[in-house]
Amino acid sequence: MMKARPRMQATCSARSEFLLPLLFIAVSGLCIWQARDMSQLGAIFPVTIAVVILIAGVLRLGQLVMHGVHSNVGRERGSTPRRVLLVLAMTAWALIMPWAGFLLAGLASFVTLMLIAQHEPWTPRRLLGHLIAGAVLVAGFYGLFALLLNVPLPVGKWWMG
Amino acid sequence: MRVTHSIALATGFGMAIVGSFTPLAAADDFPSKDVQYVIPFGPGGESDISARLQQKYFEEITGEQLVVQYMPGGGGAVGWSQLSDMSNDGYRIMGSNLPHIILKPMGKDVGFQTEDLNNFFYFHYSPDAILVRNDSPYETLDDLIQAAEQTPGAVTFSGSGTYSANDVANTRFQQLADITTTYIPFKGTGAAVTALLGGQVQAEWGYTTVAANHQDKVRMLAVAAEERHPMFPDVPTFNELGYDMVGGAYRGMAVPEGTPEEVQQELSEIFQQINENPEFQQEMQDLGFVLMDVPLEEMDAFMAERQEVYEATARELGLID
Amino acid sequence: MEILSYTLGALSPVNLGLALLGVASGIIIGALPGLSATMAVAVLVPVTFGMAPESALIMLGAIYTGAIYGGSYSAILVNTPGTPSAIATTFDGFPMAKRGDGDLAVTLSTLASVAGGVVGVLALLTLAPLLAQVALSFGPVEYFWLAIFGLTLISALSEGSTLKGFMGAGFGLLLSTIGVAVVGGDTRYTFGSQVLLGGIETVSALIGLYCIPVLIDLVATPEAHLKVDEEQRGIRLREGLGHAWLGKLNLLRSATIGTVVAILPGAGGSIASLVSYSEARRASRDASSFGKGNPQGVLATESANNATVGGGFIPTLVLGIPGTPPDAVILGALLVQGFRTGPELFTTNASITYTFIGGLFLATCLLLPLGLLIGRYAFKSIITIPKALLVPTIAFMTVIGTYAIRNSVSDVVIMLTLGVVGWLLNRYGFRPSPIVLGLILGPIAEQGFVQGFLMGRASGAVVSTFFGGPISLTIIALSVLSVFYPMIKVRRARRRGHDGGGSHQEVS
Repeated sequence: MMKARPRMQATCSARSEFLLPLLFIAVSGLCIWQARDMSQLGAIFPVTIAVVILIAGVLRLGQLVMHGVHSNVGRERGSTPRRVLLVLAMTAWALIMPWAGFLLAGLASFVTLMLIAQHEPWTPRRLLGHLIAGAVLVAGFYGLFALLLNVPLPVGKWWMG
Repeated sequence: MRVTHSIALATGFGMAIVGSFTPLAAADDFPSKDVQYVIPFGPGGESDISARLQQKYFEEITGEQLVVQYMPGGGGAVGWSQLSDMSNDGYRIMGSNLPHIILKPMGKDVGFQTEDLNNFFYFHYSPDAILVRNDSPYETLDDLIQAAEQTPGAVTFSGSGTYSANDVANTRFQQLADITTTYIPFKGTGAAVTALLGGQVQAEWGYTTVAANHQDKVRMLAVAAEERHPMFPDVPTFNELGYDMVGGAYRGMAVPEGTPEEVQQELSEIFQQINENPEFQQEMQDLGFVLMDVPLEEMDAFMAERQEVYEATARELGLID
Repeated sequence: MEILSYTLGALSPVNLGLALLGVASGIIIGALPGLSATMAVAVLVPVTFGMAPESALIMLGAIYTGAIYGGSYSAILVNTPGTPSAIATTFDGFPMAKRGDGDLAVTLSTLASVAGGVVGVLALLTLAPLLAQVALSFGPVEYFWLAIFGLTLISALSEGSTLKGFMGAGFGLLLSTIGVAVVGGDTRYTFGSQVLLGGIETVSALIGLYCIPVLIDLVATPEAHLKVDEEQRGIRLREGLGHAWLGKLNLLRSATIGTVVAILPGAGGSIASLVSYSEARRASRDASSFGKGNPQGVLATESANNATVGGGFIPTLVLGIPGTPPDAVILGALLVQGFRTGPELFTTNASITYTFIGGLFLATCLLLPLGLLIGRYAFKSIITIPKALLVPTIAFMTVIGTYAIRNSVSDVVIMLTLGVVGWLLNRYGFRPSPIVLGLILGPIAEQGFVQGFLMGRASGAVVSTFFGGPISLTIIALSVLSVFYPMIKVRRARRRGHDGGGSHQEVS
């Protein structure tokens, strides 16, 4: 008789363990669908890879059904709003950089990220110190990249007239 | 060290601010500061090397620096698609390459149109050439053509990229000689020549510059230049052998739309002067390049002529109908 | 002993000063994500035009050596490979730093880099003309099989489910096909966007997949980025030397792998360090501790990637075919200076060549004091900077570093998107390493396959093209071994357990 196998531990919730292989299967399906318009030489590689993902996804689902899986409790840690804010702030930074120029966008984002990352209360002294350090760092990076390394950093379309 | 650093930083800041607010300086004192020269490829390639050679003569003539920067990606498309966003005061120039700027936008949207580039000077080209290894059984172009006629498709050529200068040359040559070969695209000229040296392919579509770098290991069967290259007096041109092929990878410089006419004229004259410098001529020749002068006033005619040639090939390749 | 006298020529005060400056600035540039060794070298090229050729070459070699080594700092301290060569250093380097051994990891990386660098330079000095032929014996088919061999490392890299590893690697491989195909010219998976035409830039993908998740988790909690011990233990050189001595075989093997892989122009430092990492893991008795902060992992990857410096110059100088991207830039500088590669570089121009090799050797040795010094400083600043400053600083490096690669804002957006996707996938048990492996190996595998297919069709024998050559067959055998070795190892261990009798193994 087969020994009862232990149920697998999910990395996150049990539902997501099923959801992700499904997502990968969907992506590979999309890739195969998209490959219709490609030349034969161009399509062969992505289609092969997509099929491999598809098979791996189906196998994984099979594995999950066979063994059963239980949710991983006690993983949720940290503040999700801060995470989301960080991503939003960095995206805004990238998008605004061509318009506001590297220096201004950099300074603004530096301050925003500083506020997002700070967990303790601000004291005037700490705030001032951090702001100065931030300005020095931005200027330092600017000097390194724009002046020493000749990277054409965006000047900002708003100021170009 | 730290002091000079901060001075440099301060002047840099100052310059950035002054540069963006002052109205355009009159053309007669152009250039009055460093000119940024953006190469739409990575460092180390032929576009980079020829730009590096221009660099020091630019400084001799103008007293200002020519600062080389890189914007690689998409076979040049990443750089050219950003040209129109750059400041049009003449202090930003960008490398411009044929056939890339004509073939890339053909039949698909790559973020730029051929017309977006205001080419002000074309200064040299690397003529197409057929290369074989020193120990190859093909002694002449005829040997190779004969082999291709016997078993169509059996003669393999390596080359750099699809729909590239090499691909165009191969297609045109197949048409002219009425043969079928197998063209195998590689990522860059370096990989293509490695395949030739390693014996993975029988011949390579390359340039005189490749032969110049690998003189001890390869020989050329024919060169697509108007006359024989001084470095290779024994290698015939395609014209001599009866094939109407002159071409290769042409290189020049372009500025964004809206750059004042006088500034473009000034730039064109500066680079013309560089081309006339005998030292520069010698250095370029030693690397296998062929210099040419297409100044601003002749640019439209030159571009129209090349456009026609590439369109014919593109039709053959199935890029456009 | 002409060679020796040339090498001593590298030791003039000017050259020594230039080497020192080159190594130091190289380390700093390499440590910043996005600023790769290629860029460091390219920036320096115009500066060197005004110098004597020997000095110029020494400085270029020094900055290159420094940059490859500097990449390990950000890999260890912030889980972001500063250069692609340092990808595998994150596997064990960052876990070490997390548990408070960041100082030790930096010291180990320094020792390994010096050891690897010396092996690479010695190979360049003594075996260059012989080894250069290896570069030519690798054609498209061999590269295809090499990439497949590389992909078999997935099973070693994916902790937990191997199937997840396969899905992740497949995802990376698909990402690598985005853009205009080199072979065939198809526009693939751009969904009508021009932004994606140029494809996904590997280094920006690295920054996104490794660094953004660290940032995301860094802001979420008030805990310190790295664990810090109460008492500072200096550079822990003695401890580091102990580990290095234990791993002397590992160091030598990794350096050899690094040298040989670097000779292949299509491969590069990232593959060299990944292969040596998995070999170190395979050879180790304690394979399960790899990826959790095993010092031998850091030793293997850093020794391999610095060996690529010397190794990469072998085809560059002998054949004029650049072994690694920075070599291409140095080769360009050589051409501009009026040098031609090939045999005369070892005969008529021997003085320059050997002075250059001497300079590389010197730069490698300078890594030891400079690396320990700068590394100490880097480690200290990472652990003392308050989080509210650390987060924006790292974020700054990722954004400007990504931007600087192609001067493209779109790359920054792609980097951020991949970062978020990477964070989500990691949360659900898909590690970034298989994805990155797929992204790096994808183009090699695909181009090799299509080129090999075209070659085979031209000669009328596709099958024998792929399975004919001795090198192909060797790599295929190695791949098969790599897939099945873990199982064999388990079985052998079990059998030994039975024979020994006294094991804890349950008899089922």
